[in-house]
Amino acid sequence: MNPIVGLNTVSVFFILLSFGILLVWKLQKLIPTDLFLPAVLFLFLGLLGHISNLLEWSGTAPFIDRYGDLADILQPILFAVFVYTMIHHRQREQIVASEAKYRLLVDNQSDLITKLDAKGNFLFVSPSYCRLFGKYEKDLFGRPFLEEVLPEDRTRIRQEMDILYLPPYTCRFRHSAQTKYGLRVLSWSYRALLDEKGKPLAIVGIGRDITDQVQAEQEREKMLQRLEAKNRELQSLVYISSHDLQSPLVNIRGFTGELKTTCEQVKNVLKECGQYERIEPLLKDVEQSLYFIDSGAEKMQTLIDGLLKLSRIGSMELTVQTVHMNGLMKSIIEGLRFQIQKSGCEIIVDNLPPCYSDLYQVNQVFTNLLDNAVKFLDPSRPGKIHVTGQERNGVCEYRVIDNGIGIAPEHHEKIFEIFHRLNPDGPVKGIGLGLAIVRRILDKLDGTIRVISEDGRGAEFIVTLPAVPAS
Amino acid sequence: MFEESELIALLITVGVSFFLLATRKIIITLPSYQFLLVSFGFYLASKVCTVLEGFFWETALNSLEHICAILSCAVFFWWCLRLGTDKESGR
Repeated sequence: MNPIVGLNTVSVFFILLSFGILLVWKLQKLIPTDLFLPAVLFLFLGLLGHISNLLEWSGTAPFIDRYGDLADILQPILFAVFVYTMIHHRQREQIVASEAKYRLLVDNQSDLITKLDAKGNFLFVSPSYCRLFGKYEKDLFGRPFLEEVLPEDRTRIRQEMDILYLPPYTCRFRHSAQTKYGLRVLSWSYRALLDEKGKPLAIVGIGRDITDQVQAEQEREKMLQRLEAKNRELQSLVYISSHDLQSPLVNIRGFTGELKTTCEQVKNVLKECGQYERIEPLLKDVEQSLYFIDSGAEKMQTLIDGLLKLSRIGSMELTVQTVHMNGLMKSIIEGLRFQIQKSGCEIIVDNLPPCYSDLYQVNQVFTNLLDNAVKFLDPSRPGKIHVTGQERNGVCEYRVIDNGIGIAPEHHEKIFEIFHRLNPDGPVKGIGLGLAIVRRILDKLDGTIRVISEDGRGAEFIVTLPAVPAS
Repeated sequence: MFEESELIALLITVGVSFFLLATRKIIITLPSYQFLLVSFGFYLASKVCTVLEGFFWETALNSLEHICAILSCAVFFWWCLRLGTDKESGR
């Protein structure tokens, strides 16, 4: 056998095998028709070429050589068509896969996604939107978005959406809508898609059902209003009670003084009559009782004064200005000179940055803090108080550091509570209002206060106040 | 001497080579694209041999042409086989 015939026969064999395999894949639907047909045609032309070679050698059908030549010319073209079809098919597969990926995201999104044309008619709505409104996409397609908005909100929303035609081509709004689940509040964020000339082509928006959030906000608002009303009521109650208690207290103290004077007079008269010894124990009882009444009334007076002071903080008018802390601290120390000298302590004041606050209230805060620092010094060591301060990120931070008796960590919050005293039976007198007043004033001044201390190791009070604005 | 049809077939095959070169970025995403390109390479070689045999080494180049054609068909068959299995495996 001629070797060329043998070679061509092997080629024909492989072509037929390729054809068979392609047919199997086609029947198993592993390759699509648009890919199968050019491949088969390509193989057919190859087959025709090789058969024409075989017949040419055998000399049985010389006319077929012309078809063989034609097949040789057409075969590469068919190969190109076949490859092109495969490429096209692959690109389509990639697009379908990509679309499926994004479709998966959109279909499983709980937020509402819409696309509108430049006139505000629906071009696309996500399944979440359809579910919320109980409608199909085809029913909404081409319908105006505003139809889904409650009539009373439509004018406002139309005006809001007009902003989309101007830079930065975005808008945010919320509106009420009648949905499958009743009246709901929706929040939208819209963005216009522009053509090359900057003209809006379409609008895409993402919405969210914020009904629960809005209800929670309304509840919070109501609670705040109620709380504020109660607070005002309480303040006025404290103020009125304290104020009204003043007059009977003045009477008690006044008449106690009267009684004391009368007792003295009675004592003198009885002494003159020589009857004093008989009535002396009785008079002593009366004097002791008057002393208790007077000291009780005095304590009550202090408490009422403190309460009045505290209640006035809530309603006080602030005059915010630049407060020069160095000068202020000097005057506070001057005011406390007697106590400082008595305690024998040393006070060091660093250069302090000015703050932006109410002069009178800041004075009150630092007077109380320094007064406390002097009062609660440790008698077993020389007292030392250090006042320092610095400005950081628009906030002035001042520290009043002492080496006094200190405060145990469990009392760090309690010391700012009203009438709370760490050691009520201790040598230092007071009613437990100083730090409560300081905290309330600082709340009012947008400031803060905290303490770092340990029992027996001194205390550091850190006060923050707004810094002077740069402008 | 070579025939006109052989030259035309060679020119068209070279043209297809350029097409493959131009679309190489997408072709490399096709399943088992290496086999497809090798098959085409042998096909191109067979066409070159067909034309060259008209000028010199007629017998040797003619044999080489047919060997290249067999190899092209065999590799194409292998590619067809891989086409289905690659698709099945989802690659």
